[in-house]
Amino acid sequence: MTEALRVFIVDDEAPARARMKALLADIAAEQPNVLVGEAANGVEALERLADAPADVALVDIRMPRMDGVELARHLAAAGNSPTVVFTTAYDEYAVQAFELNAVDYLVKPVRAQRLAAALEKARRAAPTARETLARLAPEARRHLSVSERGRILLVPVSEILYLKAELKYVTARTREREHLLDESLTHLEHEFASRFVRVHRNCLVAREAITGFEKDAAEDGETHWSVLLAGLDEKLPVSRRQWPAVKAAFAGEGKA
Amino acid sequence: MNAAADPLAALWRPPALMGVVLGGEALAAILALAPTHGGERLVHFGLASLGIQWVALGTLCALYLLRRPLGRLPPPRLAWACLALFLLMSLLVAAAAWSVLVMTANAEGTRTGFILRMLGLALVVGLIGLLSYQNYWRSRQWAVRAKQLELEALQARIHPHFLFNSLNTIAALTVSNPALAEEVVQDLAELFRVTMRDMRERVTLQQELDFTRSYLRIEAQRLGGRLLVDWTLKNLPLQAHVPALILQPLVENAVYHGIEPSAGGGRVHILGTYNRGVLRLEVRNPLPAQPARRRSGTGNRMALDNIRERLMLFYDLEARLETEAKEGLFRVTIRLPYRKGVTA
Repeated sequence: MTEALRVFIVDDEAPARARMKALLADIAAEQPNVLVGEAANGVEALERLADAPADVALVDIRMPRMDGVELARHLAAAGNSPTVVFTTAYDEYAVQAFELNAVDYLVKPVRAQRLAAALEKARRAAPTARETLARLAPEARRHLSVSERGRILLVPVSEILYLKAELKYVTARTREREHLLDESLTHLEHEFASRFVRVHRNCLVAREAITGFEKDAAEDGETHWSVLLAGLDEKLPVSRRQWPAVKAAFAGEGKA
Repeated sequence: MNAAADPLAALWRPPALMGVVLGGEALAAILALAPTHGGERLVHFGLASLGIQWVALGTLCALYLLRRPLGRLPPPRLAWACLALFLLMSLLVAAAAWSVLVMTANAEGTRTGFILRMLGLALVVGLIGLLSYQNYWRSRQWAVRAKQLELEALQARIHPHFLFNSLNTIAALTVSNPALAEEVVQDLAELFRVTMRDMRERVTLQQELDFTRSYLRIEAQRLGGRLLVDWTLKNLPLQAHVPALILQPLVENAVYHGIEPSAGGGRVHILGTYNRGVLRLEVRNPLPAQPARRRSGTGNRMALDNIRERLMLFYDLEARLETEAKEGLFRVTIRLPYRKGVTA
């Protein structure tokens, strides 16, 4: 006796969601399922999934605000999340990436049988690893996510002033507050290379937030530089090793 | 080596061989008919024919035997090498011919003179041959390129994203609203009929506007309230002939780049005016803060380039396509000439 899978549909097009609902009803005999909710984009999906936990999420890869792959990455980071099955009308690059990484996907219009097979696979298979999902993503994420009290909180990357590594976690500082992220600073530096610059072994700073640099004479007689950020009193030290690179990056902009 | 890369390959084929033999005979005929001093014309023809065929076929043999090293030469050098071989063969045959002529007591003038005349002849014929081959080669390259362009144009016309999403919409409507599903199928069929046409054809402005409306009806089903469209058309000559698919692809781009990436949707504005012999079509769409990923740059550019090319084809410099991105709005404007009574 197979348990009913809790299914959540994410697609920006209403007719596509309607069709998926109809298909799920059609295959209910073969794959018992219950629809727990739907959303029109990744951000909505994260909000609603917090209240309506699901086993499987059928996610369209192309959506406004937050696309399918980024949604899957945030869900994977949170742990204990629905298995994501991607759907697409046509996207040759995405499909290539999926095939390369052995990630299952469905092409629209979806056949009932293919949907049933995908649900069966989803029951058994382990969820896709975060690293694999990162490889599928064509571009950097627009948000970073934090699990807070059972909900996934999204931090827009554009609002992050700096990222500091502490032990196993990374602290993301926005104007309002700090967030603890389960991420690796090196991976973040790589993913957001154009947005952040490394000022220290354990610190990345948003280029756009830099307002200037300050020189302090330290006890050992050496000059130490600190970077000033918009909206923060805190001054972040720039390591001597990183200073030449940071200076070079901003020489042209007349900030150093 | 494929035919496209190997210039010599065509020489080994029956048509080329026939051409060489017949060409040689023609040359022999010309020489025999030329006003000369006495002698049997038929004998002249026979001897000329013999000599020419020896040179021609001998050169072809030599080229064939040396085809591998020759194949490695760049085209200009290859041409000179072939000419050199041809002249060499002519020299050999001329020398042999002189000996034969001496034996049959038909020799006139000196050996050197004879050989030089033959070489002169061979040089002129050789250069003519090279020129004609160059022409042939160029036209073949153009034919290959033209086929390629046709294929690219075809691929650019049928947008899979639109096709499969529309089919999915129809599949959904088949259950929820069969009558509407049928209408969407009709609209889709009409659109595809147009895209299958020869892009060199023209349609009336009325037809182009209708295709665009069909396209928008399909998208309206898919995107619902997210897609809003404003039409502003002022005294348009609806029977004017315009190239097919100059407006619909622009509107499609507007939807793909301007409306779809936005959760709240947006408004596409289509304008058409006609003033003093110039027909102006404009499409405006909002530029979302977070642009569409992946296909964003290339698909748009391909469609615009394709339209520009076709406008050039029809109207030369009299038609223009301009784009402008300003203050969160993207505008594409097409201007083309239309004169009443003239099928422009």
